[in-house]
Amino acid sequence: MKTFLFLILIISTVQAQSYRIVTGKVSDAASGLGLAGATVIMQERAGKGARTDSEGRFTLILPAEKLTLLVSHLGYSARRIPLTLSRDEDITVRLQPTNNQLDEVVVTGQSNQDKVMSTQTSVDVVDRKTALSLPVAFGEIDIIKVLQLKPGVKSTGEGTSGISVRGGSTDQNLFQFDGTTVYNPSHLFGFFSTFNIDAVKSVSLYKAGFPAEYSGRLSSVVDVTSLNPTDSSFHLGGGIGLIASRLNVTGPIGNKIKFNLAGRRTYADVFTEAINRRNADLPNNNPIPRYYFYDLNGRIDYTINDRSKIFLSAYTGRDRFLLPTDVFRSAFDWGNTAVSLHWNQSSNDFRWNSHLSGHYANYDYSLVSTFDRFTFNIGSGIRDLVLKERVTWQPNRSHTVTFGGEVTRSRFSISRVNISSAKPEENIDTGENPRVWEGGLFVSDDWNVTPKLKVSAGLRWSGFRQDSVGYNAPEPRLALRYAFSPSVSIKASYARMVQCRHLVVSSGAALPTDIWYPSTAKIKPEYSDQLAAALTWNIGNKFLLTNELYYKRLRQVVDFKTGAQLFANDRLENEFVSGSGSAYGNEIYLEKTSGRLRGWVGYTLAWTWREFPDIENGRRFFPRYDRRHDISVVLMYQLRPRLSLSATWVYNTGNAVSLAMGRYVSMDNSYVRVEEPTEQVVPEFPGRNNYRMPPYHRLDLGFVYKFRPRRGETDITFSVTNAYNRANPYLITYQAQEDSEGNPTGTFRARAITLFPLLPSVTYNFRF
Amino acid sequence: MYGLVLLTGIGLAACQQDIDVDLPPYESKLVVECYLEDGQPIRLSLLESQGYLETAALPIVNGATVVLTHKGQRDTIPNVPYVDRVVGKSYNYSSPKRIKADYDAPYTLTVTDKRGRTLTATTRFIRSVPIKSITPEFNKKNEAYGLTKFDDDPQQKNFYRLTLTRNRRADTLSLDALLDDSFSNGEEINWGSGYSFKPGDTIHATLYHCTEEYYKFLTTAQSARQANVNPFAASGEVISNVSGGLGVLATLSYAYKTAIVP
Repeated sequence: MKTFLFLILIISTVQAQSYRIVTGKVSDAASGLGLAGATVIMQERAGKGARTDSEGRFTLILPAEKLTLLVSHLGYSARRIPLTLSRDEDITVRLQPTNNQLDEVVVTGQSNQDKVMSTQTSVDVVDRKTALSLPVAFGEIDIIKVLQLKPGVKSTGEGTSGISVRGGSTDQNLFQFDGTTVYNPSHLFGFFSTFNIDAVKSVSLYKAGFPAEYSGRLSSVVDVTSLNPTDSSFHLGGGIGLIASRLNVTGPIGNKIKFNLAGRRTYADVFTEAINRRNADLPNNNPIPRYYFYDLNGRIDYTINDRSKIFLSAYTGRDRFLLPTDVFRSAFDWGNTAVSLHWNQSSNDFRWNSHLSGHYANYDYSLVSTFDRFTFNIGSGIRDLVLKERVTWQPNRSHTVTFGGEVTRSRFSISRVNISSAKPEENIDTGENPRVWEGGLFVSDDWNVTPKLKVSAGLRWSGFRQDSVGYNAPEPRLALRYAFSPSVSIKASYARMVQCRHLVVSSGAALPTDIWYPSTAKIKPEYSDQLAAALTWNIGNKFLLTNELYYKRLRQVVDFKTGAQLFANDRLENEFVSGSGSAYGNEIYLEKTSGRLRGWVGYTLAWTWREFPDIENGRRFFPRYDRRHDISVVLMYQLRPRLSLSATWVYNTGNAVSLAMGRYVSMDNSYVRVEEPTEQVVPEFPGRNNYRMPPYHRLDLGFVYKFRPRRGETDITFSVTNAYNRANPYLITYQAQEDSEGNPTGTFRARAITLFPLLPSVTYNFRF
Repeated sequence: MYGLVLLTGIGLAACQQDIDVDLPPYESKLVVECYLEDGQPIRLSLLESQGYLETAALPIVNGATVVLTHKGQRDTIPNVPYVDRVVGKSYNYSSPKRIKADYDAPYTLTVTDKRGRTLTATTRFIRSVPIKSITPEFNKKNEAYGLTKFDDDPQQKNFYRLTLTRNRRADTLSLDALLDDSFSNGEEINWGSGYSFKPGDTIHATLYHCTEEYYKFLTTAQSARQANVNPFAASGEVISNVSGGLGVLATLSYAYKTAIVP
């Protein structure tokens, strides 16, 4: 009863005030195109503000009085818009670009209001500035690793950029770069993401309440947006790090074309090659394998007129690993290519907006080895051609309708094994090359029912076809927001996602050799249904508090049966098993969004389950990435105008792993001689993921010092990873013990293998 | 410079240290290993599994009742040790009675120990697949590998184990390949080894035609060993045809051929 009276009191207090809805669009003054991420705040009350969406639109609920809106965006001159609110308003604000792209406008409480009033639940946005402020391992700024510090997002392995979102496996994340799928978004077996910070503007992670335009993965959408070139003069920038360096050039070509080119490459191989050359003549020389990776990004924007704009975005990056011994030469090469062409146009009144895009995506790996007269070529890959159209229509102030569709033609290359020599009888050639069509149509409406109640309802229809096998499925989406006040709202969402391409993951970690495999008659599409509910509270425009509950049900998820034959198998579909799963939990997130000290604290309490009738007789088990507790603390402190400090601390329950509990001897048959007694030992694993690793925790520290050069800007970034040198086990293994003479004693000891000790790093960044 | 290379080795130079693993109490299970071969006496080992960190000696299980049943006929295998000195293997249960392969009816092994624990396993004989040829193939250094050829039966799913040894049949394996016919169903299979033979050597090739259960035991036991040391390995569960315990009951149907390296 007391609670009810309290709610009545709150609601009646809110209703006693008079509010008006202000909707609008912030656009580039030259092109007229909407500016995403622009800040619109009420100058008189810093707590009332919003951030524009991907089309540059915003909605504010403001008191019915005389006020001034302050509109700003990175790279543009801010504007003040005086308003006298006696009725609802719909306004358009055009901003003029500034000459210096890095003139960042710091606005207090920039997005809290937007997060309160949006219907979107479960979204995390990380921009360049945040990524550049935090400590990084090996000096490599990685925007994806920042996502791992958000609630509900877990790293799939020590130091890796792979993520598990709300109990989803690594293949359940849709990584897109300017809308183009990036199938393996990591380098060096997952330790670095493929996204070069010089080419990235921001990344948005959707964990639930997915907009209707997204589909194809069960657990998350990671939407990476390239940095749009806005400079009206040429600039050269980059960074020199411990293992890699970056270089980027940005500038205009005439009045209508602007470009940004960025590259990154590791250079450890330069040193290893020098060592190999020096040791080439030594007896028993064992050359160091050569390894490097590189990324190349390019974006060119062409402004046709103030309502129409084209841009081309291109990315390619590869890892190369070369083993150059005399007897056995091996080259392991893998990488992504993502190219997209976008045409954005609006109607005269900007009520209609069309975004037409074509995409090309490719991922492949190839392991080529030569041994005597034999050449072994092993590989897999996937190639997409995609056409997308998205139309946004704002018929009135209350509705924003979005509709569109996409079609994808994909070619898979699966488990290609080719062994060739001069003798035909020694040759082996195997593999599958299925081609599939995939498409979808969607429509959604954002409806401001009342100033307090907003509904986003959508429906997507997805289809898939491979030869005579086809699937189609509706994917309903629904999100509600009720605002108790301009500062407090509750939200709820439901979303279904369908996944028709599956990653053959033979281990807990994503590896370049993992294979994408399409649905077939035997392998049905995977489904997820997720419910989420959230409370969002903008506390004095200094803090943002959210609490989210979620429940996700997974159907027809795939795994491999025990003893699956994954190598050189032309009928890989026979190795899959189908099952179900669930994930549920609560995420609390408190962010300080203004002041010299910024950052956040997140805590997740979660459970994740999997169940397969053909694995362990249907016993329910925890997948590797199930973690009961997950805490992250992120602090960024501006100590001096030119000196900023940062710290991140993470703590989580250890991974669920398979650890042998017992052992037994298997001698083999009487025609087989086994030299080492330890080779006769067979570990006994009582069940899948039966053991919890010790808790994982780590503190990283960083500071950035900005110099004052005569021209441009330079800074130096120091980071310390694992500052208190915590030995977090990556793997627990048993090793046979030996006596003083090296003979096996028949006993074993447990050993923990850890990857990263305390690790300092430094990066020098410049921009002229 | 080496230091820099190491630092840039991205943790490839990982650290190792002893760790206390809090393992739950382990309950030992019976482990049987028995290979039935046409014309050969019956031998088997009956042991117990043990906790991984236990220090006990080889846990031999004596005094158990071991019965092999075939077409309703029960043969008790006595607790008589047998030592194969050629390959250095010991069995704690053996019978002089020689097996006559019957390809139409299964063989069932039942073991009951003094504690009342019981395990059962069933297997059957399948016919061997002949080796068409074993051919030495040379490289420029005059080293040879053995190329083994045999035909796969397209009418059924087949599982093979091919072993090659040098100069003696029961010796260290130069090749131990487990393969099924998934990418060469019904075709001639050619399988090569490493360059581990020299002129004058004799290549001993043994091609086991395995039942699916035996093949899965071999492959998953191999995976379990890898899962113990490799974080990227597949799951370590071992598939076995033994109920109530661990190990394997298998038949050995093989073709054997030798070739002298010229």
